[in-house]
Amino acid sequence: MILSSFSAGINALRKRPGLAVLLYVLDLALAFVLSLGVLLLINEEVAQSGFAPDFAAQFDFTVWMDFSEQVGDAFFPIVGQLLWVIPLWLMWKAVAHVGLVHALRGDAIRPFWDGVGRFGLRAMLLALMYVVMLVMAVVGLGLVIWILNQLWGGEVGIFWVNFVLAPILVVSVFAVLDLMHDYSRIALVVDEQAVRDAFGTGIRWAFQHGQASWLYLLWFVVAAVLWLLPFGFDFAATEATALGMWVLFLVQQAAMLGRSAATVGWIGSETAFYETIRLREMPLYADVDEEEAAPWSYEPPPSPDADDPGLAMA
Amino acid sequence: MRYQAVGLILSLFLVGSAQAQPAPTTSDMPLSERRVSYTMNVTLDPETRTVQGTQQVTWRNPGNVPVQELQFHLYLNAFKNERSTFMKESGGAHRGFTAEGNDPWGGVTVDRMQLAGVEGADLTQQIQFIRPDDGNPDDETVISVQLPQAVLPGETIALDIDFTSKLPQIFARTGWQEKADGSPFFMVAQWFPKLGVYEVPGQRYLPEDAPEGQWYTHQFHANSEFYADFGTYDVRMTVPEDYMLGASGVQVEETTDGGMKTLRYVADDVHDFAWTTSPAFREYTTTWRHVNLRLLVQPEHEDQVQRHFDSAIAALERFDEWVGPYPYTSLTLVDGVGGSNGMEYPTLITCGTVYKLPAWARFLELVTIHEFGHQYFYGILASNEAEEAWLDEGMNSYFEVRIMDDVYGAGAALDFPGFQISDEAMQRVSYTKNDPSRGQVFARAWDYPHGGYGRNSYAKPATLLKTLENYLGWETMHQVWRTYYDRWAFRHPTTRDFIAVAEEVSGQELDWFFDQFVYGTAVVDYRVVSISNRNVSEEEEPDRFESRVRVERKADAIYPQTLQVRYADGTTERKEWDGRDQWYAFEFEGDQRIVEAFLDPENHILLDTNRLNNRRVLTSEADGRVGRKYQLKTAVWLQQIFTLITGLL
Repeated sequence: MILSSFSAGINALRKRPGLAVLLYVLDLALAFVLSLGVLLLINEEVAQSGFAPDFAAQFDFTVWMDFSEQVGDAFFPIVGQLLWVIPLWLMWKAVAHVGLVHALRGDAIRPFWDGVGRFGLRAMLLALMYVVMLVMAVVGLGLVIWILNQLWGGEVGIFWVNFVLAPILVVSVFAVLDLMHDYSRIALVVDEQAVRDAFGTGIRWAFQHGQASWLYLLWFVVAAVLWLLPFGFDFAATEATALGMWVLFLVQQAAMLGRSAATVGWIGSETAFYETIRLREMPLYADVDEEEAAPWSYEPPPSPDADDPGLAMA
Repeated sequence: MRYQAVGLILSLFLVGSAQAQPAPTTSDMPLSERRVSYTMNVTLDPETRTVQGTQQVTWRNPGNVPVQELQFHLYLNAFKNERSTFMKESGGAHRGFTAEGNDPWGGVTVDRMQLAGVEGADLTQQIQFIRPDDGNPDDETVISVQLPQAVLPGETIALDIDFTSKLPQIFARTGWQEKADGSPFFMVAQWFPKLGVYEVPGQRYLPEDAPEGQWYTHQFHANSEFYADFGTYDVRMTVPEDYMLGASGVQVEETTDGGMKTLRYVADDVHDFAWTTSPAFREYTTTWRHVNLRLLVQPEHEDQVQRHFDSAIAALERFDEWVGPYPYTSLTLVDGVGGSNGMEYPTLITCGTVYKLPAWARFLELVTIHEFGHQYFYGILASNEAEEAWLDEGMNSYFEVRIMDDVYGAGAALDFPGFQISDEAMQRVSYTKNDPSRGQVFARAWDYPHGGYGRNSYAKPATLLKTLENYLGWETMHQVWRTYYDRWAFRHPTTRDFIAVAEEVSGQELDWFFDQFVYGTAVVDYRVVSISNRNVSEEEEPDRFESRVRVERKADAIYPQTLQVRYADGTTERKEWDGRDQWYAFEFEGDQRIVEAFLDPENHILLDTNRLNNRRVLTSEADGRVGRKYQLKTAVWLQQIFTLITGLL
């Protein structure tokens, strides 16, 4: 079941690779535009300083600090842009995910933007409910980590609690929330449930179907590796030439494209899994009201023994 | 390297048996004047965190006139309450540690003081608290004792003193601490009544023609450290039998009795004595030439034993080669708890690390090398740390930089992939990016502007000494250090003495340097303002350029400069400038135009507060690679951030 759902996700990706490209290009475009401020700022101070070739080749703490002092507050507007970009981006992701579910459900080809339009608003409401859950989780996690620190003091405790247990706890709790959110969105689109019902479905789904967690974990590992890869390339590369910089960037972008593809495959898998389970759980006969069914019900002919009290039903 | 985990077995061998006494120094003769001696017998009560002791202290009058008064430091009284000068100046916090908890305060009480061997000569009532620095009536860190009879020149007086030292919860490197597992730890430092220094005319800054000597017994300030006469220490310390103990000097005796053990340590030609004890310590030993190294490490840090020894031996080797021989036969490294770490005492230093410290973070090595360096700059070259903190912290930071960068290279301080920071860069930035014009290096520790102690006594001196080394050349600077050591070891050198040695060895007058950067607050910042090229050739003639490089002295310091220009064909040329004028134009003539101008191309003037503006290229030579590199990196990081954040929703 897990593997078949996983391969369903891969198939969905193969059928709709354009969706991965769409997600990736939008990510890249926004990031690239925002990063232009860095290019201008650095070039203004460094390009003509003569240190540029050295600085491009290796990190020089002294010159970097001189540069930081020089540009000072100029960095803040660049970082400040994230204050409006990130909320906007979150809204986009909320609607994009329902667009993906809509596009990847069933066998028929459905337009991504159609899903965005039909379910986008409800997806945002749903996301808001999960924001509340997230805030509660953050508070709860903070409390748990604080208690663990009190119980297990000393530097050994601090290390294990804050550098091992806390990250595991945080990732686990956020992953569970993400899993719930995924199935809430799927319920919203596939079953066209109301926002509140979809929210409940997502939460129940995580607990009722253990295989959903394994499927999530499988994709989580794939996505995590693809997310970490660019950092690995960054540490490994010592690019100094313009060509080297672009090659590194392109290799990193390959990983980022892979990460977007994983998102499509991931949602495709979960949608397929949801639909399969729903199909299995669907009753073979409709559970209908007897009175409503009466006009179409078959009325058997009177039994020859109908008047025989001995055979009458009690 | 061979380690021996010495524990119970060795203790059993030692119990009750007199050992052949190891010598605390390599010399059969006294290395110092030994104006004082301390013989102490003390017992630690772990329950009350109190050290009860008796001491016999002797003092020889080094002057030419009789002395009627003795002065003692009672350093531990700095932690008696929040009204002491130390606590007021520190705002109740020292390097992140505050006096809090259920038993935070400490102090030392002189229970009895009398002339040794003289019945009825009780001096206890003669004890008076004095406040020579700030007159704070609540400060009890210095006492004065009027003697019934003056100590004649050359005569030695002996006093018997009973004292009780209540240890504070660790604050400013001394006191007790209970670890998370409940095991107690004691760092017994700055703990006993200790004589101040009676300087005679001609010593340090006291004029030769002064009519008499003078006591230098400063109160304990938040930023000040110590100053004392060289002498001998013979100390018996009694602690619970299951405790491990480390102390200044060498252990010469151990006895056990009734669940307690007494260890006797002797230390010669030192000016302080500190010890530590805890049942949690693990012990490791090794040797380097004549030095027995002993590491008392917390169990959770046993995986870092090698790092402790490697860094200590790296420091021993280089100090021996660069400054002078290490004359002691022991060195105890203590991996203390919390605020006890990062401190120096004669032949005993506290290092400090954290659980699972990664190899790329060389905090442990840096602290170990720094604290070992104090065996020279504080221990052997015993300047007055309260009045001239830079002579110990600054010179030692300079050697810390030299050793760290020599041993560990470009990533000496931080060696993270793609992000390396050398110790030299770290010290330089700590000075240049931290309000560099504020406060001078030569200042009494308590006169540094708020927050200026670290910059002016560590980072700036390290940077200015490295700059001086670059100016004089290492060969000369090496000779300066060797001479300074030879001339001043086991004495109390001053800034003036160091400058005299530097000028004598280098054969140069260096007032211009020290006046600006040690006694003054001058800041160095030169920049290349512009490059201009004018083709002055006639038609049909080969190109001939008149070029001009304009530079500016942006700050008040004057420092000789070297300008290097690069021509279009790649050749370079250098010109010197005395750096005096506010603006200066270098003129060049040749068949090539200048494309780059670079002040201080060898990066010799580490005091320059902005190196970025030292160099300039023509607009046509501008290189946008670095901007592009970080733009691309930023783009990828932003994509990563977007992915991570949206993963949450």
